[in-house]
Amino acid sequence: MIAEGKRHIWKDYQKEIADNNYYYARSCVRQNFFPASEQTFLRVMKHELGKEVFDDPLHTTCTGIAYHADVVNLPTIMTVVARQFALMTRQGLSNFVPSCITSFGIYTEILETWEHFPETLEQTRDFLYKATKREFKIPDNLAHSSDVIFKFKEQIAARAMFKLVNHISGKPLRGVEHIGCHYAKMFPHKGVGGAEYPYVLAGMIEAWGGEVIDYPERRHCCGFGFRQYVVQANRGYSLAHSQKKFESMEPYSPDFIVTNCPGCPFFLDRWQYVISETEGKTYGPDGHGIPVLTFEELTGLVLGYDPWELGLQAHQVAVEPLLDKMGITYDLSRKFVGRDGNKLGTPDKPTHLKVYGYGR
Amino acid sequence: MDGKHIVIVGAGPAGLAASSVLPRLGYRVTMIDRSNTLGGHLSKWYQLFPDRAAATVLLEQLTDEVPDSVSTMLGREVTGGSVSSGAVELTLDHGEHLSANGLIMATGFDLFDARRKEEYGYGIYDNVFTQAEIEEMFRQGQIETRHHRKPRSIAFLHCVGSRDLKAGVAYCSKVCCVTGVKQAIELRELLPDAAIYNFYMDLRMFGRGFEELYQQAQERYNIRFVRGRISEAAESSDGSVIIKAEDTLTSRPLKLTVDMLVLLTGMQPAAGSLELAAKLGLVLGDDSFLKPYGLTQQTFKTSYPHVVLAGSCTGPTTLTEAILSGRSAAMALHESLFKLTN
Amino acid sequence: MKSFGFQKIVDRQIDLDKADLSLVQALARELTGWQRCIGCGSCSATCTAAGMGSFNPRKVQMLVRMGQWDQVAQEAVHCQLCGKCRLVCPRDVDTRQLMLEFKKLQTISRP
Repeated sequence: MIAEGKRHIWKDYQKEIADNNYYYARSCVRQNFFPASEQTFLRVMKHELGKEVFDDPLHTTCTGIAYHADVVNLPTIMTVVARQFALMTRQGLSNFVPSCITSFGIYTEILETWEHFPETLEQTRDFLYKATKREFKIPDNLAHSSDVIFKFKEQIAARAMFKLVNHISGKPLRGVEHIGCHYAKMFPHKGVGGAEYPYVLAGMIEAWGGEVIDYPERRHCCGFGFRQYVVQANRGYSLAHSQKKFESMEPYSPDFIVTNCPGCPFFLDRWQYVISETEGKTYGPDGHGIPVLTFEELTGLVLGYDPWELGLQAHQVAVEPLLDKMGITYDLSRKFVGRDGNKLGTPDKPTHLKVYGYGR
Repeated sequence: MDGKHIVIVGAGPAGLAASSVLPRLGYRVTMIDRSNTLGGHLSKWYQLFPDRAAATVLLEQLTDEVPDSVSTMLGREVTGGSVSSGAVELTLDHGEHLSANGLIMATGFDLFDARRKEEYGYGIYDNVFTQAEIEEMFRQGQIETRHHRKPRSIAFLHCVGSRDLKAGVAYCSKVCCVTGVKQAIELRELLPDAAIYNFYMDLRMFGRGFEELYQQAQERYNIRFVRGRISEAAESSDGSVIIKAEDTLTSRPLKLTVDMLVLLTGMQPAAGSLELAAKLGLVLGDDSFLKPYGLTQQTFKTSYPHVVLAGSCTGPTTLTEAILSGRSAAMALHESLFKLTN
Repeated sequence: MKSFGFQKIVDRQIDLDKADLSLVQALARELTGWQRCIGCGSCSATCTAAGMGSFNPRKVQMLVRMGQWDQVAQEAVHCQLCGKCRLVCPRDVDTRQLMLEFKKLQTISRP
């Protein structure tokens, strides 16, 4: 692999990312999958970087999942998106930052559609006004929350408590980066680094001391594919896609996988458990899986946040081996204790996959 | 035509062919090229399709035909110029000035920059090559991977930067089809046990002996042809290249690991050609190649009677065509200057 | 029904004389560019939804031209709309949009 060749391509895919004053649009599913990730983004932005981020309780889902599952049509999703922009406009903000990759793809696509087909913009303004009496401005800047963290990766590195380095051997930890399909495959110039060699997560790994693994099925989808998962009978497709990736990355012995999409970390995490239960196969050493993190979780670990405050106990693949390598200390007895001090309950112990702090 | 001065820009096959004709008609000829060698791309090639003739022999023949009276300026660039009625004025890189009565543009082509097709990883993955690099390996008599191993499997991909609207190239580069077949056969001779593939959208075997070469590749040389364009390449841990394509004839996606992937890159107008055309006010076609008066007749003529076009500056050409057009352009210029004087 | 112990074989021939090409015309009014497809298979090679099942975006495009709408309808629903087909297409065909149009035309024309 010739690193210079990638840098040559990255030069062509620089994107503008606003410096401050963001309107944050949360994902509809991430808070269930990875409960502390969005909170961690806000914590990093406000308390580490001193930025203004407006976290609006009034905004809704972008309806992207329903759109991709054929339940919601284009004029409807455009109107919902317009409502989010109206909420942003109401706050006097113009930098829109969605937490979800599919939302980011939806917002990007709709903004492009409005630009190329102004009549659809007028129609949307009309629909929104009739339905809600709201009006909106088109954002000056649209960036995914991982773009924003990418922008400030050096500042985060400067405040890092832990590096992506094996604290005993001093060697860089090796990470797989997985970009959600909707980040740049539709509009390569809207993603940091483009669609073929995205740099948004790779840049974070490098900045924080780690080494990026480029493996053959890097570009492949995690397998969510909306209707592949939403319809239970189709979940075999989803599983097969994730496994294709695991088989391809296994020879590189990754220390972790980092993702920037709501669905990808969920499937890359859960399917490792399902594969271990159905085939007895695990992809890490000694019955461990490969830990899967959201980019906010990785950021939080680097900044020294408590793993359980980051919600890492909600993962099915144990993250403790990664914490050990980074030299992060943690209290296993507090793993399943909630923030209010109440016990969260303990999950059933998997048959093959090695876990920590579980009962039975 | 005694004493009339003609400048030929480009010393590739077309320029050489033109320069062999004009002195015999009584012209004083100056031939200029950016490169330090004669022959353009031909000087970098090993064997030629379809008969596997040695490139060096053809180059020798072409240069031998050039009379000693031709003043050859190599490693020199035309930096400015203008065309007026009956005259061409050119400025060279060292500030030198040339006045001529006629000009032949034989400015040729550049190979498409394979890095622009990001999905194939040229310049990123160790074992992705272009046909030009393979030709160089043939000249050195050694085919090996970037890790100095003998390849066990090689795939050629046709139409890289040809017939690709995403790359801004609508046209067919014409010679890559048969080049892929020719190089596959040459590889087979060096690597009797290797698996050799050609991935293609269409194989356009239009020239004399081309289709026969294709048949030989299938029958005698055991080259495997897959009708599907490679959609992406990735590097595996041992440095081999994993490619994905659809085998469109069985309608199934296909994955294949090869030690070398060879991209058959197309032709695009030479950067120098475009610069000079802009300075002289020559017209470009939609494909950015120099636009002649007609595409069937008068294919050498420009809007100036004393400026003619030769070879691949007007679009992808085979060597045969480049040589023929060099000679024809010279004759066309001669006729034109004759008419202007008489 | 009387059983003879065998069933008549269904003729697989594409009967272009009888094929319904009206939707091809309707499609041409909605969307241009798809006519440029030369069937290179880049889309199918890179498609996430292909490979694990019968879905094949190249073949869907070919079936359209042959007026095989029933098959098109069955196939197009497998598209995940990720857009990678569009990214790799040398002929700049917006295959993703094409799949959306198929669905639209199907619902308009086939209640």
